[in-house]
Amino acid sequence: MSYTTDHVEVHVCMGTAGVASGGQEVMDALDAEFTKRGLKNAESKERNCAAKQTGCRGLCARDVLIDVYIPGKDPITYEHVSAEMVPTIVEEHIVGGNIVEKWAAKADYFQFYDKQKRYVLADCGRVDPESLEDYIKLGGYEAIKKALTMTPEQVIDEVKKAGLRGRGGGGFPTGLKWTFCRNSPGDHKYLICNADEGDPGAFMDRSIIEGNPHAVIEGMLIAGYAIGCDEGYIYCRAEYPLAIVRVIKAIKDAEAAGILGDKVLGTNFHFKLKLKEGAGAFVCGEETALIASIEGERGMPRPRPPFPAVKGLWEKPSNVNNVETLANLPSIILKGGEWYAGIGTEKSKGTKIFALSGKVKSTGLVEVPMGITVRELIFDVGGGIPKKRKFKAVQLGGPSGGCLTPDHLETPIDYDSLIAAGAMMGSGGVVVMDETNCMVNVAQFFLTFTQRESCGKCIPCRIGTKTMLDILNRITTGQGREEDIELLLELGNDIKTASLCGLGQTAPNPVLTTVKYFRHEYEAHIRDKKCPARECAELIEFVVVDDRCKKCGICKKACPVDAITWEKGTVAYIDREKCVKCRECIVNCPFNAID
Amino acid sequence: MVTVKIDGKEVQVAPNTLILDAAKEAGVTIPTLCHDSRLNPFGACRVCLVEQVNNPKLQAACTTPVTDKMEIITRSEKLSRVRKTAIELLLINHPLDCPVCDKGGECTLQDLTYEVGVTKVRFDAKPNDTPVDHTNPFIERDIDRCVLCGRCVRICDEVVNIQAISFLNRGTDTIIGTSFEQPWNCEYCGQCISVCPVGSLNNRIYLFKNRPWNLERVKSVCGLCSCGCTVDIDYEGNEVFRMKESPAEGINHGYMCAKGRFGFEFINSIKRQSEAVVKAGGESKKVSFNEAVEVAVEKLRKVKDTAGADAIAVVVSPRLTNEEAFLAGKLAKDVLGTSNLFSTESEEVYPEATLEEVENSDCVTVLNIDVTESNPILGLAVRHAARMGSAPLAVFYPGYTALKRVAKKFVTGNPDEVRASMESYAAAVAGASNEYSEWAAKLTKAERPVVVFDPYNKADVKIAQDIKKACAKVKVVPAKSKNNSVGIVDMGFGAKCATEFAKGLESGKFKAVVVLGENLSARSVWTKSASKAAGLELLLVTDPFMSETAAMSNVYIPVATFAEKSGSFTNLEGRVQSIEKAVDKGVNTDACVVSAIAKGLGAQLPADANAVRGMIEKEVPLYSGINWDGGVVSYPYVFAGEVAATDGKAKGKGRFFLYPASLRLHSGSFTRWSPDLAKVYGEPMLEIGVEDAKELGIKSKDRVKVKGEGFEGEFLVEIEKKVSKGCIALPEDFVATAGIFCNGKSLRADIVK
Amino acid sequence: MKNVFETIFFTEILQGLGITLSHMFKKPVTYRYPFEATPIQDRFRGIQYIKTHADGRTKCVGCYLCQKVCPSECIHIETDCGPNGERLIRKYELDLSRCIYCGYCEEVCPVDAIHMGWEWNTVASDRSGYVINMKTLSMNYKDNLEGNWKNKHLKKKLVEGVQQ
Repeated sequence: MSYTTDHVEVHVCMGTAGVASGGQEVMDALDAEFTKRGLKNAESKERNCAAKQTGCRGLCARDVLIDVYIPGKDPITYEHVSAEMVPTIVEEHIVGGNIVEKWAAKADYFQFYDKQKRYVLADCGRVDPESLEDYIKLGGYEAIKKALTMTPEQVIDEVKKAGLRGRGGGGFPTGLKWTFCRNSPGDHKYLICNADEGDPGAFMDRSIIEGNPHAVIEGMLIAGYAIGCDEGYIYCRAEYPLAIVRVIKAIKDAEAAGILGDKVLGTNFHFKLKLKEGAGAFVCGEETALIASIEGERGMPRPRPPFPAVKGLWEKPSNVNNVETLANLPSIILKGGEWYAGIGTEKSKGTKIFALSGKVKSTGLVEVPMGITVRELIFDVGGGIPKKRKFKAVQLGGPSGGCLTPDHLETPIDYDSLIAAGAMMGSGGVVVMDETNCMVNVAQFFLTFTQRESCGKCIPCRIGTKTMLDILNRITTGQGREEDIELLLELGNDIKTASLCGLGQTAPNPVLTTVKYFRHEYEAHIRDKKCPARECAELIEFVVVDDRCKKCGICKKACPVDAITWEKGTVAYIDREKCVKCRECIVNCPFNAID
Repeated sequence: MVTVKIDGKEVQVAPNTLILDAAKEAGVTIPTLCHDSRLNPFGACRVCLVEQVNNPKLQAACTTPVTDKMEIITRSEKLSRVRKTAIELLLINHPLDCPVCDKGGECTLQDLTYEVGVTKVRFDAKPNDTPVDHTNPFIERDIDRCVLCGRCVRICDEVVNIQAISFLNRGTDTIIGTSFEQPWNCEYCGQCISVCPVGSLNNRIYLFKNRPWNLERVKSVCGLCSCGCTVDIDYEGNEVFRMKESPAEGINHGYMCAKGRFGFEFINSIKRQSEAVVKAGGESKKVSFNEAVEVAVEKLRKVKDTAGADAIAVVVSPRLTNEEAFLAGKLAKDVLGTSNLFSTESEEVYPEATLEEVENSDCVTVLNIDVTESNPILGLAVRHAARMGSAPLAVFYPGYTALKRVAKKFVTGNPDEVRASMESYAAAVAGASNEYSEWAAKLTKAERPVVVFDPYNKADVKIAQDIKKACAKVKVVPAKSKNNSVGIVDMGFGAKCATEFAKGLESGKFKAVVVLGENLSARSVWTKSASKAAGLELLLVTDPFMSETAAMSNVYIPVATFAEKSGSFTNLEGRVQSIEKAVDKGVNTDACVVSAIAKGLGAQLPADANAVRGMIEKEVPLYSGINWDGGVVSYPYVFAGEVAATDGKAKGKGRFFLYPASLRLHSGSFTRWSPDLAKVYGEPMLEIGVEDAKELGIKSKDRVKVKGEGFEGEFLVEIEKKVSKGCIALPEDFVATAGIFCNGKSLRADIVK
Repeated sequence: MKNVFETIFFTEILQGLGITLSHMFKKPVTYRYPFEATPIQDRFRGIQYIKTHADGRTKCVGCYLCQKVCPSECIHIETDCGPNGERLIRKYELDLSRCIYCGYCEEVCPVDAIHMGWEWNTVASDRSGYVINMKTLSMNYKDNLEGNWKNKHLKKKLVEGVQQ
């Protein structure tokens, strides 16, 4: 990687994770350090150092990450940087020219990026999200310029050629969706960017918007031009304050620069863009509910047909695309559909961003080409399972997706293979579970989420998911009945077939797949009143197994209520009167000695 | 037309027909819970799911339009399992208190439970248990029983457009409620009750009174305002238990208003009279019907012999049926030989547009009347046109009405300003260029424009006529007030001006007056002269109640209400509709009274409605060959010649403009005998704007004196933000206020504390 | 020969007399009604009673189901809404002169309120005495519960039956 400026630049990760880890302090410290040392001279060529904020670069587990760009040299990345480390880095590396090896990123950092192909995220972590100039400097808004020289049909053709499919979860071919909306009669059409990302464990859209909002705006301009929309909305959830601030600034800057508004870039294409904050309802990620929410109505899905492409926002033809879909567009237009179609598998083209979380070493945001196997994603990119534990399952596609087992590790990740395996691409949340995770508990967790987020319109989803959750609750608390598994399967299938929108149609998936692959765990809960993974507190006896206990005393330190008596050289004893079943001892015991 | 196959039966239906309707065509019934054909598709209950051949996904029949060559299966194992699950899920939280639920016996959830065959619920029951809400005087809300089909929310939004209730919370916590859990604030139309499939919204008037299987039902026509709504009268024995909509039937499409739905209680009122009263020498005596008739006959004969037939007058109320009014006319003209036929109605204006035409209009103008209160179903039609058909609606009214929400233009101000605006508007329609030209253009360019106006206000009639003259395609709707306001005119009681009767009373010309159902004291045209009637040789009054006029009479005969007789009413469209006798309260009808008097005078008049209809068809040309069940009379004209220009300016002096307020659930004449309506609005209230009230230091429920030229009265104050500044309003039809509005429709007055 | 023997010594008559004699020492199977009450079996269906809650309120909710199911139309109910929106039973009348004691009312009752009792003595001097109301029906429950029967044969165990 080479860099073309003639001064030293330090990029500080200022995505949400970066800020939360103290990114702002690092920024301030760098700034103060540069000022103190007189390195902040904009005119000077030699003594011109600057700290620059960038978006998320993916490996959030190691924030704050900073990159030091010295002209003519390879950039150096430092992990887990704090404000205290800044003077040393500046002293030794920037001034002295010696890399601070003990803090610099090692091979395992680069292993994270080895199998990734970062196109959508390429500029996240390089570009200053709050600077239009920076985006343009890195080649931004070239794609829309190129698109405006093409006819809208040519743009759609290019997207069709690329084989881009909706990244929001459904995987509907984007070009085809546009064609429907374009051909739908109406003088006024809307383009909506769905940034209402609500899945637990998913933060792709957030990182894209926070890290490179102009890319999304450019994507929307391309889509708007292709479809014939003159107004666009970015529907962003209010829980993403940083994203909202950055989008608003980006829209303002773009308007000032003549990129948005009347006569985009001096052409006859007009495109107004507004930001609409959601009120925190997961169901508003469903496009008809999202449209209702923009209209100011209660966020409830409505039956289709009519499809939004015919009657959407304010009864006008509308097209809803996901953030990631839109962010893919600039590179498709610039590099051509054929280039894009060259990546990925036969039916799923391009790359897909996943949010890796759970029991995996390198949690964070990864962009991988379609067709990569689950094993590669978890073990090569994610670095495998920490604490030398065994991989047990992976939940793909968030709460609507399904669980895959070690048997599915070789499954290629593309839309159709995942559905065949019982999971789904979904928005791209990947939650990895190891042997200490109880699958009933996992199903219960995801169902709790979907049940809470159900809008309450249709009966199967509103009452059905609640009933399923009640059954799961009784299983995990030892009240399970013999017929419960069958009841869960029957009810789950009925909810899937009968629900009105995607939320209900997929809500039972975590339960159905865990029953399918981990039925024995359910049976153990019901028949033996035991939780094999020792996660369901009600089913754990909290007794120290003598021959497994190595008398280390870690459990005593971990116990928050002093329920454990231990003296050096003795087996620990748990006072069950005092025990609050918090599971801290189990989590911390290195020898699995507590049952 | 597309061809679809439903359960093997092929039918041809129009494209975009819903599967549900196509199935109906094919004679296949699909169970539904949240569907209502009058509302937009919702698709919440998933009970109507059907299978489409070659489509793995189930389709909701109530939301999916058919496509050509579609094959639908409505009964299969998969479907019955899905339907059964849905019902079972509903039954988890539904309190199974069917024995005490008013809906028990006519409940959709009960029916579905039987239909899908739920005998045992696989899930643990967790019945809701929240207190019942009684904040609405007419509607009991028990959210425990709610199945969240959303029909009430949708009808309140889409049809009534009040949006009093909505969904609150999310997911399993979803309930139907008012915004911020405030008490219900609505028109009390009860449309939500009519669509509730379960016992979640209940009619408090009928609450716990009976069970549906005990009730017998006749389909009849509401006898309150002139809309002529088709209603079902449910009764047991001789008591009316409820008046409810005939689902999706009649010109009202199954909609009703508060008056019709909750105001029927006067039929069962204990204040109803059952015995005739004859007054002689200052002494009242209860007598039998025959004795009373005898006295009346004798007096009539005497007056006719001594003072001549011209000294006799017959006054009928617009509450009477066509048949009764015709008989009364027959009695007057043929038997008594007098031409003194009076009523409050006149034949100056005849109906023109039908309610359907109002609904489908593409430009509606409402002149100086609050139709949402005076004729609620006409109000719904106007709203429908303005909202669903998106016709531009212009409303002129002193003060805001419920139409404010849908009106594209709402002209308000004091009555004089509104009048001036209406005149400019009419002038603009005629071609003048002024501030209303833009709006006039909308009317003249429209294909089916409609103008609604108040036919009792001469100045308004003139404006309506001017508009009609300038734009011939305009169809007008004179918003007549009472159930048979139109019909009695057709039967000959509109030819003479009502003021002539007042003059006759004043001058002492009339010696004997037969008043059928009318309350002279509560009519502003007559209220001043009403006291003169007390001293007549004969004042025969028939009325179900002892009204003020009945109390003055020397012969009083209690008569039946509309639920106790057969006959027909002609509504504001000129549509003749039959009413059916439901109960018998042991009193005679007006027809019997007329027939008995005629018999006493030696003439034969039938009392039977069918026999009278034969006579009407022969003798009233407008009604010859009419269909008595919904036929529309074709009138020769709309306006009877040029309406004289009247000075509509407010009369008198005073700080405030005083105008007749829109009705509040009822007028003061007949429906005031309904205890439940009276509970909400018992006595005439003086409406005053917020600002004015503040200035005068008046609070709600204060008693203040209203003083103007020639009138004075004390009223309770109601502070109403809709009333414009500088204006006050009083209802017109109360006895206490009739004496005010006899001076004019638009007055000036002062408030004395 | 045997016949002759029997004829001479009237053995059959003596046998008959013997049976008669044996019965003289047995308990009589008949009851001297009205001086003595007849016994009532457990499943006898007598005059109805309506259960009350501990505080004396009737268990009946006035659902009209017994009125609907009654084949002889002997039950008449009138209900209304109370001032606080509660369900009131204005009238509950049961005409014993029409009742055929079929027990359908007991079977249909969804709240376990009306039951067939064991009392059967309905004798009254005029017809109005046969129409019993809610008060009487509730009193009947109390009587049944406490065993205050006019018919003294009703045993304690029946009291237990009522309590269930």
